[in-house]
Amino acid sequence: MRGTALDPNPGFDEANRVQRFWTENYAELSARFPDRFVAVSRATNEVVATNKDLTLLVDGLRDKGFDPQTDVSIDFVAAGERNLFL
Amino acid sequence: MISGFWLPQFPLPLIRVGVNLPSISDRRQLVVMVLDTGATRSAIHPLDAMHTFGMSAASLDSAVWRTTNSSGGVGGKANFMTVPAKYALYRDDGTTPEILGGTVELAEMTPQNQSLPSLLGWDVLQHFRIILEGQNSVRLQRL
Repeated sequence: MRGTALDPNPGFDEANRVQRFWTENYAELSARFPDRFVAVSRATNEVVATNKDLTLLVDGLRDKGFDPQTDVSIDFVAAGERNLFL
Repeated sequence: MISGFWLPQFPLPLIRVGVNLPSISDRRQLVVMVLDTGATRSAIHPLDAMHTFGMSAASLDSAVWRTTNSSGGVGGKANFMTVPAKYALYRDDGTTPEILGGTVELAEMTPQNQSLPSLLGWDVLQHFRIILEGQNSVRLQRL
């Protein structure tokens, strides 16, 4: 799967689907996994790994046989309202 | 017109950008970036570097970089590596995207920036009219 300017990776349909999942499930995931990185299977929408540290999460995914780039979506789930000063 | 969006769980103006980092990967990856009018330059933070671009944690250590830029923000100083980048911004009508060549700042991984979103800064934004209407609308129009 190789992204191009007209056809990036992932495609917009998949990006929309993943974004909808996170929006619809964010409150529940925040309650279960506050202030952790959460990896969700793209195939099943199941949580497959969580960790407070991104490197450990990615290493753990590889140990379980997941490709962190293609098999899962990963986001940081804040415990409460997220305030960023960028 | 190029539309962005807001997310209930992440109240900042966001936009999907196709980013190609030819020195890192031959794939053009779709990255959700914050439309950051406070950033002089665009930046890729570790979550996208590792998850979206498949980079290793070791490669996000400035000790292995040939050149490093130190940049300041409200969170303090951080190290970045400048790498070539191409940006594709996608029009709502599906016609040919706006393609911009340039560079992006790749952030060194720190405990503080692991979860930060990637930023679309003025190096790219200067080429667009920016239309923000509260949380109802985020749009860019090429100048």
